[in-house]
Amino acid sequence: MRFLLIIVIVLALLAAYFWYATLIKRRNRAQEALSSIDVQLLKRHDLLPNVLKLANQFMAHERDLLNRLTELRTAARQTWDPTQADEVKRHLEAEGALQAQLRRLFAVAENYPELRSSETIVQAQQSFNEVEGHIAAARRFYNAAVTELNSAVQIFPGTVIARMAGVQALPYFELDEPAARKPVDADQYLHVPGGKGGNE
Amino acid sequence: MNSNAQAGHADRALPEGFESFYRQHMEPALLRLEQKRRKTARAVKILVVVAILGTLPLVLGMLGMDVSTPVFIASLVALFAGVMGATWFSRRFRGSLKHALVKPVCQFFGYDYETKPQSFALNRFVDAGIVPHQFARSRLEDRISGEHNGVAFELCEVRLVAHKKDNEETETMFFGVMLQYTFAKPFAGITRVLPNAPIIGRFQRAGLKAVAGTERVILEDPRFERAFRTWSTDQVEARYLLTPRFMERLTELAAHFSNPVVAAERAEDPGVPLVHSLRLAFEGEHLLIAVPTKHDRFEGGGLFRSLLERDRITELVHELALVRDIVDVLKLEQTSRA
Repeated sequence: MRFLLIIVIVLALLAAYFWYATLIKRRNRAQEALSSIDVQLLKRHDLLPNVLKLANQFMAHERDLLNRLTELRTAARQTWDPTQADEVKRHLEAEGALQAQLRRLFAVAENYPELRSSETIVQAQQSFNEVEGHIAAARRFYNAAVTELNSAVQIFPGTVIARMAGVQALPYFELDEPAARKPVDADQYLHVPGGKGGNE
Repeated sequence: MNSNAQAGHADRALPEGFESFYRQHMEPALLRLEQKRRKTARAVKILVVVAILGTLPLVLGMLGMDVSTPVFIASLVALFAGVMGATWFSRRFRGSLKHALVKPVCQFFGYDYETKPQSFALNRFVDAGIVPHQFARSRLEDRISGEHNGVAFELCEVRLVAHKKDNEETETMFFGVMLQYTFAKPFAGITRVLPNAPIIGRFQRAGLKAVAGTERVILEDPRFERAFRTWSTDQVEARYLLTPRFMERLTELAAHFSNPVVAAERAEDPGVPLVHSLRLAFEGEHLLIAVPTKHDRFEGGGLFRSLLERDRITELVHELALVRDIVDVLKLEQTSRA
């Protein structure tokens, strides 16, 4: 009986150890993914000063947007602890907001022919698209790693082991694009001005 | 390049301007060659009959009947002459056909064509781990190179042959088309995409070279994951290349190359087993695609069909159009994948 009990305890300890090892491996994987996002985000930050300098010359009426961009860049560059879920969340939200405003800036720039024809802004937009492609890839890698980590953390006995080991579930890096989340207004597409609607 | 793709050939129109190009540059040569084809076909038929007659005394001898030595020798000579003659005539005609049919069609698209290529970057495919590496010799045929939408490409039909263990017999390790597209922007790592084979996958991959530093990349698209398995040296770059849209397009493209998983989803005949499905790799500045096939490609049809049959042309034009379709379907011309 005692022998059986010892075997059960040893098996339980082994299982706990493997769960712990898996947790640490997945947390490290998520951290690796997070740092790969940061490498790409840094490229986006490096693009901003030139874009803002140029936009300031031509987009005097968009002062609010430009100020907001500067604020968001400052917020996104604040130091943060990658092991703390709250700080990761705040950092990713700031980056998401920055991305949304940058997209808005390029969309608004379409209304300014002088700016649109500027070689620098054309190049900046190309670089921006390139960097966004890499950020999207890094985001997918991070979200995949976070899904694995969170499953291990949230499924019992992972909950207990994670608490003991100080491993936290991490937030997903989600898009902060209100336009993308807005429901599509079908009428807007189906209604033909001055004529009959498509479904009439 | 399989039965599914070929079935679709008839439905697709020939490219604009091809008809007048055909009338002006190809038809006169094909009419001349058609005379030669008839003569060759007749000669081959006679030689086959001679070869069959040559086997008769041999068969009779094997059945225990008395066959005199001169007849036996004459039958051997007839068999040998019949087989060799028929092969020689067929090969000679095939060479002329490629010159009169395949070369001009390539010219129409603005591509360069070589029947017997001197070189092809075969090692690139081997090193990327998408074709077997333990082969004794390789045979290259039909190298076509050109550019579409600014994307340079090169393709070649390749046969890789290895010696069987403990004897001199050979076996084909790979036979099919290898395609190489060149991008303006190089990739830092290696990403390879192989057909998914959950149970016997390890055995199928055994002949492929291991690529150092690669690890499995699990992607979000369930259809893609059912059809393919991805390995890469860089998790982020693999996802940069394999965007959700690219994965969708690749799954569609796989249907043209008999991926059985995709074929099963579409309730189609897979045509060829999984091991014979499309596989690809991103390496350096290249996208490498290897497509194992059962039959020779870019041949222009057999000896016993009229050269003026339009199916020959349509089939060939669409085989070549597929090379451009890959650029268009996968949007290879886009430098940014954002």
